[in-house]
Amino acid sequence: MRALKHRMIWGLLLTCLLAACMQLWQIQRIHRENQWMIELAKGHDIGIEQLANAAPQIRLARAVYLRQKQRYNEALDTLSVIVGQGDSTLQAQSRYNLGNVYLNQAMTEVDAGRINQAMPLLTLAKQAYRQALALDSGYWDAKYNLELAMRLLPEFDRISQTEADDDAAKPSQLWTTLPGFPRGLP
Amino acid sequence: MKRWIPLNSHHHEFVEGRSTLGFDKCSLKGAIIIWVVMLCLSCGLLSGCSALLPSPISRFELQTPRPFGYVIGDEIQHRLVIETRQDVTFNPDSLPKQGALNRWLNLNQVSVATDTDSGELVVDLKYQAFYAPNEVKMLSVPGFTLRFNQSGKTIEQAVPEWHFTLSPIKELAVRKDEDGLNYMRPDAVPQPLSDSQQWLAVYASLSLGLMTSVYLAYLYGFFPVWPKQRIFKRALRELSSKSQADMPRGLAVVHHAFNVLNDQPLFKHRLAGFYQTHAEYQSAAEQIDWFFNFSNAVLFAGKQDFAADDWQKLQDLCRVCRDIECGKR
Repeated sequence: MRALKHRMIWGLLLTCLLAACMQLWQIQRIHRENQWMIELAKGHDIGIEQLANAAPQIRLARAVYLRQKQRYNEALDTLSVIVGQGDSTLQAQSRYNLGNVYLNQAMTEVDAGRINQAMPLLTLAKQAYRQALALDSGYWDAKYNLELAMRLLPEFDRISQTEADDDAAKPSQLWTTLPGFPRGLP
Repeated sequence: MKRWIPLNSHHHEFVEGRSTLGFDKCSLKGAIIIWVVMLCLSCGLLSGCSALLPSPISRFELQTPRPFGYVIGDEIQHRLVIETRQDVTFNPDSLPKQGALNRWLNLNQVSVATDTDSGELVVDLKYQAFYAPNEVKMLSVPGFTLRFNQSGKTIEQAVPEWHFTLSPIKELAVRKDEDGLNYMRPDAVPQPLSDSQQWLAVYASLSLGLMTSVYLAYLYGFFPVWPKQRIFKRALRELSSKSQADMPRGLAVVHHAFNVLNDQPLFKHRLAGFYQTHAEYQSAAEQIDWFFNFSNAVLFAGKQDFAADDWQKLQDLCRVCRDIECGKR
């Protein structure tokens, strides 16, 4: 029994040292990943192979970089991987960024006069912003951009004599949308 | 004598002051009055009793927040507090379903709880508005009807619609950024990863490791302040510096170690007591017995022909005792 206890004390010591080493290795990994995020924020890309086991925050940071470089499809691919990962804050951020990619694309299409291409993108952007706000109702940037997207693509309900309040119509009763910018006060 | 002719066809004849059946007029009037009073009392009592019956829903309260100052994406929480009679059961299917209620209003959360103290039913509803008005606009959360069951009957309680105003957060005019594009809020940049938990784990592991190390150092006799953990360590060191020729001195060293451990001189006939106080040395009883027999033979009987094997046995005994001292055995 004494021998067993003695071995257990040694085992505890080795376990503690092993755990400390593992945590130090984790800290080193975190520092490396934070360095990658700094590099991406400065506008320098990182190797895609480094993302394989990286934290979802790194992919989010890379998606920001890709959108800034107008590599929208790559940004969408990156965001679609992490959209359900991480805590609710990170999920809200990834959905918000997803909405920004769609909104950015849509505004580019609208500026080019391709309204038909812009409409589905705006719908997707609104959906992404709504999802972000469902996760965090105090997400002011998502509120602002959702309002912008809804101004660009207002939603109208079916005109009906029987319905007292058009605003209370179900989403399925939508029959048209009119993309366009409000050009100032009337 | 004046006669009273009854209006009905019964042939009861009334005579002023006395009927033919033996009742006089005054007692008849009294009976009628009493009958009317009794009838009125009965009716009053019945209506009073029905008024006293408690309503199936004794309390209904819709608790709402301020009805103004909301913007797109804001959550609005409503609470229904309902108190019913005990035989009334709530039908949860009458609550609105979680999800999109209409184009701009979502019901994110519906929770029903019963207050165990008061027996009140508390329904929490969390709405979220996704309306983008161009100016402050009055909207309404739609009302609905709650249903309750009371012995097969359905009782309804209307929850009224609730009006509130929603404001825009974006100016109506188009705002352009420096690139000439519509201004939009920038991407969310993730926060740097925190390593505080890992550092905490490192400190915890190292602290525990340090405590374990200190305990092991104590067991192995590294602290001079605990000499009892160093008795056989020193004895073993002394023995290793001697040779077989110093057998009497070697025996004295081991005797001294046992005496220090026992806090008094230890003799063979006191070994039983020694094992009671130092039970861990029981495992080496055979070697200790040999030591005392051999020591008696050498130190008191003048035995001189000890072999190399005896010296080895003495060192082994000291080593075993050292292991016991460390807790290895």
